[in-house]
Amino acid sequence: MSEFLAAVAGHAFLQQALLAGALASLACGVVGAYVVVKRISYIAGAIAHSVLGGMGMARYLSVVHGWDWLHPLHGAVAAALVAAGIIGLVSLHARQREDTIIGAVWAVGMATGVVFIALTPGYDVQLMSYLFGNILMVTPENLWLMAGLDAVVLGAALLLYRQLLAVCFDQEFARLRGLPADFYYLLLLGLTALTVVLLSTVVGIILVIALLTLPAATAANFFRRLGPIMALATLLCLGITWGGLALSYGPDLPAGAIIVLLAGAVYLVSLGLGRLVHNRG
Amino acid sequence: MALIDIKGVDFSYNGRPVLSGVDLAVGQGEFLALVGPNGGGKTTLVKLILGLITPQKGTVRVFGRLPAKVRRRMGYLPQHAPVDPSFPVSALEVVLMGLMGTGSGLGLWRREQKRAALTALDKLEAADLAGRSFGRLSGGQRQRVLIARALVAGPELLLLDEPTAAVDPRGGVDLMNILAGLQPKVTVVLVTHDLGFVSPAVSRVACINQSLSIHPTQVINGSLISELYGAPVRMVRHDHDLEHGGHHE
Repeated sequence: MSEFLAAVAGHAFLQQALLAGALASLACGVVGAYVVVKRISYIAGAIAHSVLGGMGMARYLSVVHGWDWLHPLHGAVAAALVAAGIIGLVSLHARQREDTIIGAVWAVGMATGVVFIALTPGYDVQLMSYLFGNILMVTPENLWLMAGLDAVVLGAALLLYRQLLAVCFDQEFARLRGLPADFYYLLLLGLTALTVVLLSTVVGIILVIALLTLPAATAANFFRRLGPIMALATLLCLGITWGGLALSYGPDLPAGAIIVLLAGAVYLVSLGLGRLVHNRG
Repeated sequence: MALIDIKGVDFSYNGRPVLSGVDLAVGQGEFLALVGPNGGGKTTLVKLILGLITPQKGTVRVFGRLPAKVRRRMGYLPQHAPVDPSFPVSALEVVLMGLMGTGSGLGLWRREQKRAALTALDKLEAADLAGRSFGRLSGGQRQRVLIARALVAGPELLLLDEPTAAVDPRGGVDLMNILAGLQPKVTVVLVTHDLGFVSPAVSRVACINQSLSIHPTQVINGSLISELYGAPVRMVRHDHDLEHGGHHE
């Protein structure tokens, strides 16, 4: 641990990695709580995998066609929002097809990404960093983009807390009260999409579903109100990303994978602890 | 003018007729019970009144207007309420959701909104449940909280779909007494297949099994119900008097 702390003091890339973990944790705790209580983890999973299509396409356009301004994260944001829109509209208007569409978006997004990455020189390194994340490669430019996404996600998720809670709890009743419930459901999927992009920079798109849901699911073992769940999930996500970075640094293991393993371990422990707390209460 | 005015309504799901030639007029302050067998069209009629579905033939008007335009003047208890026991929400928050669409929409709940929610819970004699987790309440307690959610915005028309379904007989009688106390300010339409809860508080009974017939509460008897259900039916009348063994069959 002391080796890690010394390295943080001396290396800007580690400081940036810690900052990226903190920025991702803010959205992770708040939106992850909505995802867990609305039970849309699989929708989040499909959005996450479709992100590869956007990243691959953006990288391809940048390298092959000289669109230098286009960063893979821009493609990720676009692909995530498109995927969220498609799944959301199908879910609202043709519910019996929802699982098929989730699976299709999941696979088609990945396939699109694989094809574009294959067409782009130097694809193998890029592919691994997209799939499994590389928080140590985060640049100051990435951090600004992440901060912007955080501002949008947190602003909407907290200001519209009541509406999102009502839609998560009972969508039909919210509609009857005159709330544009379909809009808020699509907004929730949009916020989930942006959070997935944020988290994918930390753990990559394959592992993102774990980091999105496990801290919130862990927090839900201790609290029975959404606000405290959000607060604890944010702190847990922060602790897990920083802890995972520290644990992976010495033995030079992949940070994303260690972060997710740590999230899984914390969740398992919380299952037992949560039961203990509630039995006492 | 009738508060609910339904004329010549036909409705079918995927070609299967559920309602045909239904006429119904409900006046201000009435307490109407809508009874009939499962699949007879009770919930469909409620959904038509709420404007969640539209009839293939005929007209539905509520407060003289299309139902979808006046939904905020109605309170609704759905037949199948969300009962995810792990959903992290308090009974008070559930009632507060009945205020959605009123007042400023951003941020957390206002103090006066919380006060209104507590008052609604109090009307249902359930103020002590406010801080409890909704998912951990009993079936009867949940129904009270959900009726408080339907009442909190001060509706003029209350539509209750099977409010006594998950409630024990004593709780059901208490609930009927509370509902009777809301009148005449609130017009109540109560859907039930449990004829035991059709009490003296109910002013008229609408029997529905694809078509609809209206009866005063007093004439509801075994032969009429057997005719409606198409099979012999055992009828238990509770008469609000369970404590004193007031059961008549």
